[in-house]
Amino acid sequence: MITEPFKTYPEIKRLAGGYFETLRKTAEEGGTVAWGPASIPAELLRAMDIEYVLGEPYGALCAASGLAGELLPVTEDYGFTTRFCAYSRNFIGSYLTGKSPLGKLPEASFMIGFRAGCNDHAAWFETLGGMAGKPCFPIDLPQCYEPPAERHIAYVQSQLDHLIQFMEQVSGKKMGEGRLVQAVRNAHELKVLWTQILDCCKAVPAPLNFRSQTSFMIAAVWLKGTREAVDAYTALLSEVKDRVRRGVGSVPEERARLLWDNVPMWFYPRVFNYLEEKGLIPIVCPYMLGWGDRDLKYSQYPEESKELLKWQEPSTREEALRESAKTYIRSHVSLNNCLSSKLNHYTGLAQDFRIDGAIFHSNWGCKSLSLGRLEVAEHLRERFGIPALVFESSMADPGGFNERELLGKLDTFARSFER
Amino acid sequence: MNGEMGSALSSGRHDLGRALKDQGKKLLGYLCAYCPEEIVYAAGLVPVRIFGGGGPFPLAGSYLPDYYCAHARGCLNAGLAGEYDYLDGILLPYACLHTQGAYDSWARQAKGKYTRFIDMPSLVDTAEALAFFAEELEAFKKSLEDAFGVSITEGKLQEAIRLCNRNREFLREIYMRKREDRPLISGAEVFSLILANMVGPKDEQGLTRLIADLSSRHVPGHRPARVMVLGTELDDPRIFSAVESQGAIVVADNLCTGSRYIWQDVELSGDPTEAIARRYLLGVNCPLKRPAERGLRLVEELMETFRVEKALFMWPQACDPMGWAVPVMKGMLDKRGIPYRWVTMRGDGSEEDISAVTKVAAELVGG
Repeated sequence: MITEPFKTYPEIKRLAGGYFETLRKTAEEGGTVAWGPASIPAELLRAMDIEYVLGEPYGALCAASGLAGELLPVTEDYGFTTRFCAYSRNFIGSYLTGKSPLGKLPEASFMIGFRAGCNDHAAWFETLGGMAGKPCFPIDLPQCYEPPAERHIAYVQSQLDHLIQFMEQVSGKKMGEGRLVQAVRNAHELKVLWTQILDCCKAVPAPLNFRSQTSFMIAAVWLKGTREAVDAYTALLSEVKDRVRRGVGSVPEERARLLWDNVPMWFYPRVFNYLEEKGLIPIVCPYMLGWGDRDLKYSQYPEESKELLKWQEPSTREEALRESAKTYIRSHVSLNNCLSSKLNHYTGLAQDFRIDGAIFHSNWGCKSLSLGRLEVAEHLRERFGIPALVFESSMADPGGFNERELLGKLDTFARSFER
Repeated sequence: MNGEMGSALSSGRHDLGRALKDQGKKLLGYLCAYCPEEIVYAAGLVPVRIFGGGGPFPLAGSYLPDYYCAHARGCLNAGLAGEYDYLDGILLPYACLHTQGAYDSWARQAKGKYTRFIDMPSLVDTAEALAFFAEELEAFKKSLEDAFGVSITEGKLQEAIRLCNRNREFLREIYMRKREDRPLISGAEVFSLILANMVGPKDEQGLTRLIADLSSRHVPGHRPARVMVLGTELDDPRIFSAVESQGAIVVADNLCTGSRYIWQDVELSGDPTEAIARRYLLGVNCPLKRPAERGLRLVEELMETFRVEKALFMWPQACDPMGWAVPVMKGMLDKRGIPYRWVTMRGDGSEEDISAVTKVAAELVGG
């Protein structure tokens, strides 16, 4: 099997680096910067030239850069002794110490809380707002165990409308209708492109593996709403399709195709080398797909609800906010809905991506993304007769991480593919 | 204390549930303090708060790893073990993801039973949150009507609101007796009463009798130290007894199984569903809900009302909502000059928890 480096990666890396530079300059020059979780409607901020630090990727950077060991004890000493979201604990530690993987944590003008299945995301930024003396605007997404209806859309849309009013007040800037519409369109296009890129991994061999997906996802997370990100993903999709046509895989050997569940341990990327050495290649991850837009493909909602939530090209402020609300509900419920919905979702992925096995990171650093996964793992074993390994760790807290134990489990798991 | 209620709470709560079932009653179990009991009563059902009881929780372990809280794992374990087989349904008003996990796994196994998840805003003090939650409660009402073949009229709702308001009023009256310098009733007794009123029908007669009987009790000889328990969910009165065994009285608490269950009534004017929505959004004050300062204000109000002298954090491991609230709460106590101690608890009703509480309470009271 052949493999080769990605030609489009340098451009995505350049865009991401450029964003961090813009962020730094904006903060230095006293411009408006927001802090919030990665799920915030960043395209709305983008349309007002408000820059932002996103909590989860920032927490991941803290862990990946080796800072977590210094930051987490400071957070704990401050009084946050509960092991809630590991990203938030890194972020708070960075705020308290002034140590940052970006050199300096850009100072915030305001916070946005966003509950999309995870209550910590609301508490995190309200708490930081209190600590930093900055206002926080919280937003809620409904869980939608019952089929989404107009009232769910109206609830989110109304909050987004108020968010704009809040941002206008705090920043002194005005939201332009044209820019809002364009940013919402760009954000949607980016999500669709990202889904199409990841869907190419249904091919054998998969043109991307989970590790390379984590490198490329930065645009889907940080650069929502920009034309540059859309252009970069358009080029990436073209390259990925070309790799599929030519049978170019992500690694020399794809012995077993795996579903990787949850966020990886950012402080321990070696796990993927270890798997690759054995030809075990994670090619699909529900969390990764959550940054795209699959239009509720695996949802058990009635067609009426799916139809209601379908994207419709907006051309006014009101339509843009409505489409934005629908997009966030769609993205959220595809990953965080009730257990039977999760089982449907994973079953669909296992079939479509032709997986041979699954690894579930039971992630105590993110209890939201770990909910129900023991049953999902058991379901995949029973339904498809495939091995499904579950191991516990944290995405951004290396405390208590036992490398030897994990590698032992992976060895045993690998042997199940020898039969 | 009221004997029937005491036994309903301790070993007898499942016996009570089965007895009610034998009498032809329908029972709806719920997993969080945000259950709108008024709507359940209006549907002719008895709401039953689900508690986990003591650990370990071997059945729950296959569904919820132990980094989820002991309360959620205990409830799930009890459900999977069939301890609540007399329930006709299970309800989760969405608050934290720990109980969400317990509900998800239990509901999946509860074939043929009514199951319902009520969507709840986490941001509670906005007009759109109230409108959304009121609509959600309308949908809940409709689902009960469909599932149990009943009609929930406005008259039935008003009647249920009065029933629950009276119950809260009685419990508050008893709770307020702890304002006295030498209270005639202990914190453990009051706590047991509140718990008992969550696991069975509202017992107005029993509460009335108790209030009348209190006046015949002897005034204690010493003035106990006045302690407030700070936490989220506790359901074991032995914890309060452990504190009180050290020469203190638990005059107040901010538990969802304590003061937060009784502190606010439903308004009787206006649309009843909206009034219920408002009470649960604004009156329960879980530290999970935003803005968090609402919960803090309630704690301060209770501290003043009950002239709290010391505070005891009872922290169930893995309770994330409480974890977020702690530094702000500590800051408030420091500002008020109220000494406090901290107990980390397994939350599984173990003897270790009781011993830990006793030890720390002794330090707090003696210090």
